[in-house]
Formats: sequence, structure tokens, C-alpha cells
Amino acid sequence: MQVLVVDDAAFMRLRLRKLLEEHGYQVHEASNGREAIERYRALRPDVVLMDITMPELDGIEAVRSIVAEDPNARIVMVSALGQQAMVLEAIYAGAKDFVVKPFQPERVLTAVARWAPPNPANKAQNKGE
Amino acid sequence: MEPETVLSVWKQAAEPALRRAGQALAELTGLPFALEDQWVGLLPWNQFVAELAAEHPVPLYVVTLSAQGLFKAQIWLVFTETNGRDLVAAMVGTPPPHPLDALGQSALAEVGNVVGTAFLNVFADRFSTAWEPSPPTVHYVARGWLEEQTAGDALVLITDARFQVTGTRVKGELVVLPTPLSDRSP
Repeated sequence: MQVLVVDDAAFMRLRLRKLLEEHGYQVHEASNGREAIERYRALRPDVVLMDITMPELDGIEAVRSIVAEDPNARIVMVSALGQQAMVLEAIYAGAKDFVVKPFQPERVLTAVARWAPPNPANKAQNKGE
Repeated sequence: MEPETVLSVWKQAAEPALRRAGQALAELTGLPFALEDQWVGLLPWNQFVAELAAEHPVPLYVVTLSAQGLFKAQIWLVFTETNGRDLVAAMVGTPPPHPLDALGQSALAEVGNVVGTAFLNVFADRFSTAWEPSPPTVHYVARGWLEEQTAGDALVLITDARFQVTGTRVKGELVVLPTPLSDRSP
């Protein structure tokens, strides 16, 4: 199962990559909304974890573009911007879920697993690497 | 609206917002940060900056972000160099290089993003609006940087809070400057 992690903070991409790889996911990265659209088009990942506040193109606009191309895209927002108005805007744009930073790892894993159950074989392989 | 009314409304919202910011800081870093001190009031901008500079030995790490909602605001998170490095070490799991490398600066930037936005979220929900922050910027600053941020003696509404990890030297300061005045660096 492939997950595209979109966040402008390298630290956060690293934290999410480590968490997801430990649970059997193959992780790809993008550092802004524009790059996310390009990576989504090329990779068609099972799930996208999308930050909102990013340079060049924010996460909400990126969601709109991706969903316009692929209405079945499974995008989970992972953002500190947990304001009611922003959560609603993200859902209206096409996001499937919203995880507010700072997050509990289990909350992210549950959100991802809902759309892309982890593969136990990959989990063992990633741990062995 | 009269300045006293603005101050009263802001104070009421600032208290839970600062509490939430402190919780976010603790949750993100895994360190038991507690709100040590807070102050909300009107002060001439140049006086506040001068006091801030006098209290903090340089070099400093200052994370800044701007926010646009009911009005424009600036948010600063100020850490001494040692505290900034301690914070990054706790988040990354290893002592960071000196000065901070890209990963360390990214970790500090994320602190600014998460803590500043946690503060804004409380205000946004209270006033049923959206308050959008900019991506954070990390400044590694020497003597004079804070003083250069002055914008005269305009009276500004300042929210200032200090967080400290109980029983340790690790602490940080959050400053929120709601200002309908002009664009102000950083």
C-alpha cells in the first residue's frame, strides 16, 4: 500500500514516514501542494496525507485539484489548522478525514488503515531493512 | 470598538488559547511543558521589543508566522539557542548539530506552526471565523535583530506567554501581536 505524505516540514515528513514504514506502508513525499498534484498523477497512491499550510499551493487547493482529476482519491488532512471552518472546507473540497496536529500516532494509522489496510508482509520487510 | 472593550474580549479568548498552545507544545515535543506566566495588555511596541531583547541573551532562535483572520497578526516563538537545541534534541531523538541543520530548523518551524496555529484555532472557533497562518520561518538571530523589528511607539495589543518544562531549564516564549496597523516585518 502506497501513501503520499505532503508536508512542507521535512521533520514532519520524516516522522510520518517512519511511523508508516514501521506499519508496512510504502511512503512517497511531496513538500507543497503543487508537487503533491504532480506526485499523485504519477504514483496514484492508495492514500494521501495532506498538510494545509504550505508554500506555493496550500493543501486545500491541492485536494480540489486532485479530486477533480480523480474523484476516488483518498485524502486525509493532517494539519494543525483544526478550526471548524477549515475542517469543513477540507471535507467540502473532497478530503475523507481530518487529523489535527499534534497527533497521536494511532490516530494517523487508523485514518490510513481505513482506506488502505497495512500489509503484514511489508511490515516485516520494512522492519528488517 | 473602544480599546478597553477590545482588550477585555481579547483577554477572555487569550487565556484558553494560550492553554491550548501549551498543550500543543507538550504533545508535539513530548516534553511536559507548563504555562509559567502570561500577560495580555497594551504597550508601546518599541518598549515591548526593548524589554524582550533585554531579557533574552543572543543568539536566539525566533520562529515567526503571520496570520490573517478578523485582522492581521504576527506570532513569534522565542527560544534561547540552548533551549532551541534542547527542544530539537527531544523531538529528533539525537543532539542536533551546531548551528541547527535543515532537519533541526524544520523541527523548530513545526513547533511554530503547531503552537501558533493551536492558539489561532481557539480564536477562530470562538468568533466563528477562519484564521489562516503563513508557513513559519526560523530566524537564527544575533544582537540587534529584535530591536530592528520595532515600528515606533504605536500602542499595540500584546499577548505574551512563557512555557517551561517543569524542573528543567527548557523554556520558550510565545508572543502574539494582533495588529490592524501596517504590515510589519518579519
